[in-house]
Amino acid sequence: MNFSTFRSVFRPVGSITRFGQATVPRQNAPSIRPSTTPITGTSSFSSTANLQKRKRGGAPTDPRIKAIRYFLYHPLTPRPLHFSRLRYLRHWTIHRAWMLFLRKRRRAEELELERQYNSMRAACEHLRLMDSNGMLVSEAEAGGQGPDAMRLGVKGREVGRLYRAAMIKRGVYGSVPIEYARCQTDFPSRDGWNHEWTRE
Amino acid sequence: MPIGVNVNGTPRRFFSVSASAREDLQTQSTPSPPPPPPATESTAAKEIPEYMQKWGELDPNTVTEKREERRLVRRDGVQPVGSRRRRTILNRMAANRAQDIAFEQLPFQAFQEARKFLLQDRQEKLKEIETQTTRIKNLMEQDPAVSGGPSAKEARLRSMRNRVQELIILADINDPIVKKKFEDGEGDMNKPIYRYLANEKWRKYKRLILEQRISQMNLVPDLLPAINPVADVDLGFGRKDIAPGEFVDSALSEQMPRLTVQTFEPGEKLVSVVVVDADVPVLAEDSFTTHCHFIASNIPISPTQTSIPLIRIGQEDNKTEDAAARKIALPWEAPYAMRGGPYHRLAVLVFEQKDAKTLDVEALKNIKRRGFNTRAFVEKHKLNAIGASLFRTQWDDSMPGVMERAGLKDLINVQLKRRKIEPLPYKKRTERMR
Amino acid sequence: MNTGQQTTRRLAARAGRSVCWSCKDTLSRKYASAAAAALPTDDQSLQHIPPVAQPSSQDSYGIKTGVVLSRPPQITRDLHPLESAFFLYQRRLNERTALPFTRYFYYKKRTAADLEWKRKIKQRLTPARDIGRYKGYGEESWNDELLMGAKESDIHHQVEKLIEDAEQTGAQDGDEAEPVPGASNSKKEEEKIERPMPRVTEADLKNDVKSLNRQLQRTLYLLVKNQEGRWIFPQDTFAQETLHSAAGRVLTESCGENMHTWVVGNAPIGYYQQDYQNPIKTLSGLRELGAKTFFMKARIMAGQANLEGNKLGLTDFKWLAKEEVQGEVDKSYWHSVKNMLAER
Repeated sequence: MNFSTFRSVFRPVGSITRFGQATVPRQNAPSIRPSTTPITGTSSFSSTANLQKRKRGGAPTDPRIKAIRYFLYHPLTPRPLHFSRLRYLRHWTIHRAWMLFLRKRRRAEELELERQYNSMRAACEHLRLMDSNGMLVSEAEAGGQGPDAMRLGVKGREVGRLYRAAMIKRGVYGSVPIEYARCQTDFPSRDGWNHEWTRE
Repeated sequence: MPIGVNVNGTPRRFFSVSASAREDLQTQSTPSPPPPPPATESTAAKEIPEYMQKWGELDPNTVTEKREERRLVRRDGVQPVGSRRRRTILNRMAANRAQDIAFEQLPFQAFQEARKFLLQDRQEKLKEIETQTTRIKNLMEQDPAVSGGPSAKEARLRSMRNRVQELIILADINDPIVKKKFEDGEGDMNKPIYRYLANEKWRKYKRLILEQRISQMNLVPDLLPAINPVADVDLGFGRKDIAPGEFVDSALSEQMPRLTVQTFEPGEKLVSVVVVDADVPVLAEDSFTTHCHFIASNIPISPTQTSIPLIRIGQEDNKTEDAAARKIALPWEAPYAMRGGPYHRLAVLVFEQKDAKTLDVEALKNIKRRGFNTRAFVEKHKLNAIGASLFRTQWDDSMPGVMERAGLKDLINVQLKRRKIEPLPYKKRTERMR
Repeated sequence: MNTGQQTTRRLAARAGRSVCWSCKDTLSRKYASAAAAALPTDDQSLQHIPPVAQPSSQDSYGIKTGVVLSRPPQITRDLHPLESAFFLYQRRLNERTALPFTRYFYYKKRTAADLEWKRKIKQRLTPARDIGRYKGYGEESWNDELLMGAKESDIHHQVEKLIEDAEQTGAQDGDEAEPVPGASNSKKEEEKIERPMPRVTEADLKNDVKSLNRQLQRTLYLLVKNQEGRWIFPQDTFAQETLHSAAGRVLTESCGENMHTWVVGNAPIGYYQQDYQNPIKTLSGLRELGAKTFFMKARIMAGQANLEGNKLGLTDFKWLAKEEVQGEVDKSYWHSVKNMLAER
């Protein structure tokens, strides 16, 4: 493909007209910019489609480029939204309702997470202060946490074994099975749930 | 689409119907004879050619297009009634009357869903208000010892009441009708939601300007130690509204100003209005002093009663025999500025009287105008500045007359001149530099 | 939970070892066994330990692991009517503000696709296929709001429209299609496009609580019926295991092998304390006052529960959403369980 067809696209629009008008005396041109000696030999200023156009009716422009230009500089853009008074009020009402809706939904989600976190926290705290018999001990009785002798509860019972096991983070993040990455869709799968799955 | 049956159910849309559509109308609906005036009826009925009949019905009250008007004159020999502008409005009104549905009932899906949701939220808010008021009532009946001391109880009550106020605002703030009424200026200032909206609007623009002018013109350290405006004060002379800090023509300011004070808190208040000039030159001392131009007290205002018509108050004062009922302590003195002198800043201060107690106007009459000390005045009478405005005055063409009528005839011809200050030695421009 | 971590971390920091947190955990546990072995010989450390005294009362609680096995939601939630109305409202507004469609960029002139496009745009007035007949340009562009009861905002209607558009060529009866170069047969057969599956499944209609195909937009929880006839989450006592491994064991013991599950994390998500009316004497001579159940969260990805030959004496199971769980379990059980279940 002839790349000169693209050149006119990347050039600013204003420059097209400027080169089109023969305001610059052509005789002086070679001395100003000798490096860009034209192939055509008539003008040093450009070898663009514009010049070619003047000479031989122009190089064919890609219709896609034409289309892009046409729609980019379409007279109808940018399109303003004009509302009448009542239409604006209706829009305002809808907007307010939507904002309120979002806020309520976010709040509900937040509260749910908080509930779940608190439930989890209560369970973990219970584990922490639980001895091997399953009885709750006080903070002082529990003593320091940890398995060495100093950390055992004052009564000699082991306190919080399950808690320590529960707090281990190793392997937790690596154990997520790939099947769990299935995302929700708008419509269910054609096969439905795989009830017949068997472990090999 | 046949033009007779429109989207809105209107029989006819005169305003935007094109000529071809009119022809359409002609063929589809039964053509009614044009309403010619009785004088030309006999001739018009006979001589109307075929192509003229196609123009359809032309109402002299509602034709708006130029071509339609020409045709009306040509065919029916009737001039259109009134201006084209008037006819357009009549047209529009006719079109509007047809779809006379209440705004809330407009059958648009998203709008109605939104309203449903907002109404539901409003019901929740109302319910919450109810429970909160019950809780307040219960707490008020509770023994302070149980609720952790009287001060703790007070604090709790205060925060609960604030919450109720907040809920009252939140219940109404999403209502489009409330918004519309407020924008149209039809809001009832007795209702908290309109007061809230007005306050927000004031704080977003007018108060910012006022604050800027107060600090720019140094009203705050010069007259008062601090001021926190909570009421919107509009100042005007005659018919002219004065923006804070504007220069006022001396002929205008010879008469008392009119004040509009909009408070955003419920209940009635008693206010005092003081006008102080902060820039009166004292030639002997080569300095400036203050001058009190006006003091009026015991003026009742409320959110709905915003106007303070000082001129009428003055007239009523003159009529009353009872000295205690009078409101103006120091009558208006026209502000003046001397020729060649700098401009004068005149502050209009609105003070709230503590606990709505009346001040003794007779005692206020003894206040010396020259060298009036605003701070001492505020201290002494336990006042609280709720609003302020200011204007400036300078020498102008009407000033001699104003000064003559104010009894300052000897000052008219005095011209102040800025004393030339000898430049410091190193700033002296020498001959060589020139 | 946090306090516990901090305490442990602080203590570990005092030990002065510059090792990372998870390594420290391993180290300290190895250390523990070493310390236990060293205990009898090390007199000094013995002095610090008070004499081992049996608790005055021989009370105890049984400790159990429960598994909250859940099936995550499979499809997106139903839209609130405000949401669906709002989305369509916004799409129509977008039509009003969007740039015109660049037709010649996508369709070459006088091709079959171009002709089809022309026919279709004439019918639906807008490039968008699922927002109803609305034109964002011209005289009627102000009229973008849907009237009450219009179906265009409904997702099923939109899907239907999309499929319809894909199926049809836009040619109407009596339309003589222009002979298009390249397209040999202008009357192309309409290809049938598969409809998506319904969001409400057969199991929903039959209310089959054993099926995992029900309530696709909710989280389902596995409830089992124990020997006493109470509905609970599967649970069992355990001794020397951790909660995580015990949870895995409970799942296989109760509901069989054939479930693809994943026990999430090591920490419990909630607990339930049951106090017996009369304390039980255990084999070790302790008085058991009640039982504590710690729940672990688990997810199921495939398979189905099978109670045949389970070791826990379970007789029945159900897959239930949160509020259905409330209907089945005891009040006290629900009270301690409800906070850890997801709303949706």
